[in-house]
Amino acid sequence: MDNFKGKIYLSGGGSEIDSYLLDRQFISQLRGNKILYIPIALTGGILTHEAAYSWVINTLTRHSIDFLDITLATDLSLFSDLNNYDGIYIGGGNTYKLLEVIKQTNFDQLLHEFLIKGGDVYGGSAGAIIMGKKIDIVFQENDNNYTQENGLNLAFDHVIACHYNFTHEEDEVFKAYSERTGSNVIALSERSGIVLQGGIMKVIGYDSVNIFIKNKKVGLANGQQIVMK
Amino acid sequence: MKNFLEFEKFGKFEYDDLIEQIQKKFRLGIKNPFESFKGQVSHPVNPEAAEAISDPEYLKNYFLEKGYINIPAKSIVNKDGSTILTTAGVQILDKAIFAEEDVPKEKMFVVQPVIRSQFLDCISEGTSTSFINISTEKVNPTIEEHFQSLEDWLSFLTQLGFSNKQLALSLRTTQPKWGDKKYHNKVIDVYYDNLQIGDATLNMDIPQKTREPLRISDIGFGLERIQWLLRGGSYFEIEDKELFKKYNNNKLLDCAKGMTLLTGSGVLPSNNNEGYRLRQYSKRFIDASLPFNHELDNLFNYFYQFWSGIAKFSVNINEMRNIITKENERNLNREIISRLQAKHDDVDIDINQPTKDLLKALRGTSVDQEFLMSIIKKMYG
Repeated sequence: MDNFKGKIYLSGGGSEIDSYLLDRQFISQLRGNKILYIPIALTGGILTHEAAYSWVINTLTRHSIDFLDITLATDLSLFSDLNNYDGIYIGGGNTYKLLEVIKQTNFDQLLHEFLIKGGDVYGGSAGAIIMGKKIDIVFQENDNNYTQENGLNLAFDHVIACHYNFTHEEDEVFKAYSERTGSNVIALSERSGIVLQGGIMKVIGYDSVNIFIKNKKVGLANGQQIVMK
Repeated sequence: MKNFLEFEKFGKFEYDDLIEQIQKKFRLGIKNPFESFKGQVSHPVNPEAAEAISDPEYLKNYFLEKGYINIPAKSIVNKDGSTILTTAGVQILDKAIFAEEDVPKEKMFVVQPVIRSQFLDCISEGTSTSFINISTEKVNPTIEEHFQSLEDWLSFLTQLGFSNKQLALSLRTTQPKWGDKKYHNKVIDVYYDNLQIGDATLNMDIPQKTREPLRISDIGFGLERIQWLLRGGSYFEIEDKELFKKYNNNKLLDCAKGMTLLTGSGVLPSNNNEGYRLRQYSKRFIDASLPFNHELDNLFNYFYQFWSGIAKFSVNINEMRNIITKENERNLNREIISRLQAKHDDVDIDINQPTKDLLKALRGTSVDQEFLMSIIKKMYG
C-alpha cells in the first residue's frame, strides 16, 4: 500500500444522497473521466445489472459537468489490465460472492497494479468490506459455501463493516470481534465514508466513523484524519 | 408430459424430470461444461432460413399458429420501467409487475429491440450491445404451459434446420431482483454448439402489493445469434453486402446500430439518463470511424430502415441523421481539442459546432498549425 499512488474510497452503503460528499470527492479527484463499474456482488441477471448501472450513472454524473464515461463489467475474466480506466467503482450485494469472483479471476492483482499506477478505487457496501483484512464480519452472507474469507487487505489490516446504525448491540459485536480476532474494525454508517491514501485515513460523510480497537471505540468526525500505519 | 398444475409448493415439482423428458422427446445433446463455443460459425446451419427469419412476419406467423398473441415491441426508452432502456422482451410486463395492472391471460410473443450495456467495450463475434430479443411470455402459467412454450421454441429451431444433437439444455437457479422486487427463478439455458442462444426462465414469487405473487414464463432468444448460426460468416453481417464490405468493423457497426435505435426512438444525447448511452456510443463510434473519413450516412440510413420494421420511431430519417451528425461532430471536436491540449493546454473553443467551423476557428488562433495538421493526419490515417 505504500507504493499506491491511487486512493481508496470506502462508503457505508447508503443511497446516492447518503454518499453525496464521498462521491463528490471521488469524482472531483479522478485523473480522467473513465470509470469501470462492477456490479457482480448483486445476485440476479441482466435486469438487475442494467438497473444498477443506471443508478450508478445517475449517482456519479451529478458530480461532473463533463461527460463521465462509465462502463459496466459483469465478466471480470475478460480483463487483462485496467489501463483504460481512471476509476473503478465496485458496488454492493453479496460480499462473499464478490470476493470469490474477484479472487478467482485474479482481478485483485489488477486492482493492485491499478492503484500503484494512480487509479482510484471506490467500494460501496460489499465493495468496501472486501477491501478489509477479512470479510467474516458478515459471515451470515455466506449462503453458498464460499471459501474465500481473506479480504484484499487494503485498509491497513483493518476489517470494514458497513450499514452501521450506531446501536449498542452492534458496538458489542464489533468489540467482541476485535477482541477475538485481534483485528480493528472500521464501522461505516450509510451516511459515512473514508478515503485511504499514503497511510492516512480521512473521514468524508455526514456521519462520524467508529473504529473498534479490542473493547474500545474511537470516533472520528467528518474531515478528521488519522495515520493508519 | 406430467401434469403439475399446482404451484403452491414450488420446491417440490420435479424440474429435472421435465427437462429430461424434453431432452428425450427432441433427442437433444448434452451440454459439456468443459467445452465452450469456438468463436466462429464453422458450419452454417441453413443460410436460406437466416433470410426467412429476418422478416418479422415469419416469426409472428409461427407463434400465432401456436396460439400466441403478438404484442407490439415497447420503446427502447423504458419509461416507468425497471431500467432506463429496454433490456429484455419480458419488460413488456413492467406495468403489470410494478403498477400492478391487469395481467394478460394469453400467452404472448414479442419481437423486442433491446440494448445491453455490459457489452459496450466487449464487442466480439456473437456479442453486440443492441439486438432483437424474440420472446414468449405468459403470466401465471402452469408448469405444463411453461414447458409447452419451451417445446414450441425447440420445434421452431429444429424446423429452421438446427440439429437436435447440437442443441442442449442446462439448468440453473437464481434469485434476481426486478426493480425493487426480489424473487427466485429456474433458468434453462439453451445452447447450440456450445453457444448460448436463449433461455427459458420460470420466474416465481414476484411480490405484489394488491394481489398474490406472480409467476412468469419468459423464454427468449437473440435473433441475430440465431441468424448468425444459420448463415455463418460474421455476426455483424448486414443485408446490404456492399455497405458491409465497405464498413466491416464490428465496433463501428455495433455503435451505428445502437445509435440509430436510440435516436429514432426520440433520444437526444446528454450526460445522463437515456441520452447518456447515445453519447457513449457516439464517442466509440468516432474512435472506430476515423479511418473511414466520415462518409457514413449510408450506414445510419441502413440501420434506420432496419429498425423501422420493428420499432416505432418518433423521429424521421433526416432528423435522426442530423442529431447523430451533430453529436458525432461534437465528439470529434472534443477529441481534436483533447489532443491539442497536449501542447496548448489553454485551448478553449466551443465543441458544439461543425468540425470544419472548429478547424477554421482554430486556424485563427495561436495554435501551432503544423501540430494541428499532424493531429488531423494521425486521426484520419
